[in-house]
Amino acid sequence: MHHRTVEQLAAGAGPIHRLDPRVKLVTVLAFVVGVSTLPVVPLTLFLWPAVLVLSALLVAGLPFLFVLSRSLLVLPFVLMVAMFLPFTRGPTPLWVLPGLELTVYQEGLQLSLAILIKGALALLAVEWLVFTTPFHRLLLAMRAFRVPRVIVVTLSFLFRYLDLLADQSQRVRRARMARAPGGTVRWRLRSTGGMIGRLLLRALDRADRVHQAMLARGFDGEIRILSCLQMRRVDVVFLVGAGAGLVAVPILGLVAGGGL
Amino acid sequence: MKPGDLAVAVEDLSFDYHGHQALSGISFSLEAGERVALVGPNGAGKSTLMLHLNGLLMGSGVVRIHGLRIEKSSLSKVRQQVGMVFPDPEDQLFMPTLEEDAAFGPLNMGLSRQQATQRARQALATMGLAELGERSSHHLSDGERRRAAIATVLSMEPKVWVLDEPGANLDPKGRRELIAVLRQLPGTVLLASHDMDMVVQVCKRCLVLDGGKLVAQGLTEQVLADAELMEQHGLEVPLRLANKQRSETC
Repeated sequence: MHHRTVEQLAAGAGPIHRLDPRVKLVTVLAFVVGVSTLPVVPLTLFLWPAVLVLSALLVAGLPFLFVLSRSLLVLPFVLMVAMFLPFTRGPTPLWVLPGLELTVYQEGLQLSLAILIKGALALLAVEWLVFTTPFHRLLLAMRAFRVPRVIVVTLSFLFRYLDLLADQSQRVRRARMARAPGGTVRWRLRSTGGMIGRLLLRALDRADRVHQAMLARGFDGEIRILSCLQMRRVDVVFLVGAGAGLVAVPILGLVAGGGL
Repeated sequence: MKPGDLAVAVEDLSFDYHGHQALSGISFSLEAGERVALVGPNGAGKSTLMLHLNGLLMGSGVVRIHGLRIEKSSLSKVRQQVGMVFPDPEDQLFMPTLEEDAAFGPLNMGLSRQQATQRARQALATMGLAELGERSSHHLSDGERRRAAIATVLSMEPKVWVLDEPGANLDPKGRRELIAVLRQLPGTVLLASHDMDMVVQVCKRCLVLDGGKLVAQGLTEQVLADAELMEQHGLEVPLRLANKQRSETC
């Protein structure tokens, strides 16, 4: 399962892996906001943030191909947003697509490229965070930033039981294939509906049993955990360094926009 | 013996589940330190009965744990004394790491983080899982997962253990390890199982439940060797005892 591979990556013991998850979360959020507020031109503006995120990936020792393959899953969505812009945003025409009578405009093309690059950079930054931080540490960081407890706990249970649910659906699907491979589309849709219903019921049963197991160990509505996050000196050093690197991003934007 | 010396005392317990009489007029008691089996066919009411010992279900009748009557006001005390092990360890391992799971009970009992950490690590070490505290239960074998589930209860240091089908889905090695663990559990043990040979190896005394009624109780070697009784209630004489009988008659 893919999210198991991610979990194995995240369980690594490198220096980036061991950073305080709060520090990483703040850094990535600042990076994403910084990059998304950059102006569209010139494209050279994106060089610095690209250097930042690529070097972060490099230092973390993440497998390049894996990061790329994960990115390719998400990028089509960004592409969907960006692909029509060159034809709709005017006014300066660049060239006309032969045969289609479609005009490509300079402003649209620039905007489209900028969106693609911003999307890719933000995505890489988030991947850096997720691939170097075990999920439960990420949840701790979210709690530290006052994300409501009920959301964090729900995510924690979702992550814990996702695999079991996937296994179950796999088994049900196999059992159906064993009895009746193929079949009409109509029949398949109907039986899929039944399968989803049964999975839902089983998940509800599971939730009941987990709740009982929690009550049996004294659960009273309050989730208490051992882990607490501790900032070390290296975390502060990273935060200051990353902060300096990130501050340069909006300054570059201001300079390019003529604001400075 | 005074009632206070009994680890578990159940008097005339009945429970109605959506119009179905799941338990009727059950009475029995366990002495402190005793290991007792609960056997019976599927649907006999074993799990329902066990859930009553921890106050997860409450029927009519009286259940006392070391003299303390189970009622709403005593639930948190009762749950500190009665450790439940459920049939599916996946239900019992719900935290992100084993150590968090093993500390869940102690933290709810009001222990400090430091004490809870110590209890959790000790319990995992006793179950041979000392190295796996930071792991999630996904990466464990069935046997390890089973022992981890027991560790989450062991860390609470309960006086009474209630184990529902702890041997389900185990391979022979996992089963042997589990039997060794069950024989060493500190305190009073009530064990529900379909594994009759496991029952003989772990429990001196046994209760037979069928159709929500207690139909027999006594020494395991005598009750389970009664072929007619076993047949009547959808059970069977364990091989261990059957072989013994055969060698005695030869």
